[in-house]
Amino acid sequence: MTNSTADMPEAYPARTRRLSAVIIAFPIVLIGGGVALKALHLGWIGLVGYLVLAMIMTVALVRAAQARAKATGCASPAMIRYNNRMMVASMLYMAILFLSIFAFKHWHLAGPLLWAAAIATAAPVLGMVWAMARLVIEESDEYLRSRIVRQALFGLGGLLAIGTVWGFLEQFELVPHVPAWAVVPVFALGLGVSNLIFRGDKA
Amino acid sequence: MKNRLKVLRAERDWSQQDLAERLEVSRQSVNAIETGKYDPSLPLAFRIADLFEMTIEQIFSRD
Repeated sequence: MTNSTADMPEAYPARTRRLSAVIIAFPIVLIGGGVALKALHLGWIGLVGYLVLAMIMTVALVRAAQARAKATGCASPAMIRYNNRMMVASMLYMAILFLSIFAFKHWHLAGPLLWAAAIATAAPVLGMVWAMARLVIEESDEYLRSRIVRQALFGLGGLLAIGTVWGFLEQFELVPHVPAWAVVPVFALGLGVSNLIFRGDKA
Repeated sequence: MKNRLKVLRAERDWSQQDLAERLEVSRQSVNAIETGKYDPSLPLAFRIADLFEMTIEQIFSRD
C-alpha cells in the first residue's frame, strides 16, 4: 500500500494527449497513405511501405494506450487482453490484406478462391470488432466499462451520421465513392474524438 | 449526487490508489466518484459503505 496522497499521477495529462493524438492520427494516416498510394502510382514498393507505416502506427497506438492505462491506474486485465487482441488482429489484417491484393493482381484469383480471399481479408477486422465486444463483457470495473460503452456509442453514432450524409452526397454524384470497409477507420476516428470530448464529463 | 469519499479517505490517510485497491476498482473510478463525474452502482455503493463501516446515506447524499 502506498502512502502517496497524490490524486492524479503527473503523467496522466501527457499520456492522455498522446493517446488521443495517436487514435486520431491512426485512421488519418492510413486513409491519407492509401490515397497517396493510389494517386502517386507507387506500385508494390509503395504498398509495402504503406504496410510498414500501418504496422508502425499500430504499435504506436497500442503503446500509447498501455502507457495511458498505466498512468491513469486503469490498466485492467481486460484492457491488457483487448490491447493484445487488437495488436494480433491488426498484424493479421495487414499481412492478409497484402497477400490478398497480391494474389488478386498476380495470380488472377476467381470464383471460390476470390471469395475466400475477400472473406479472409475481412476476418481480422471482425476479430477487432469481437475484441471490442469482449472488452465490454470482460471489463469488471463499472466506471471504465461505462466509458468504453459511451465512446463506442459516440463512435457508432458518428459513423451512422457520416455514412448517411456521405451516402446521399455520393448518390447525387457530389463526392467520390468510398469503399464500405472504411467504416472501421471512421468508427476508430469517432472513438478518438469522443475520448477528447467526454474526458471530463459526468459519466 | 454528493459524497464524502474524499474526506473519509483523507481521515484514513489513504491515497486514491489505496482506496481503489481496497474496493477492487480502478484508481480512475475512485477519482470519478469523488469528483462527482460518476455515480456508483448500488452494489459498489454498498461496498464503499461496508469498507467505511457506514451506511450509504452517511456517505452519499442528493445534490
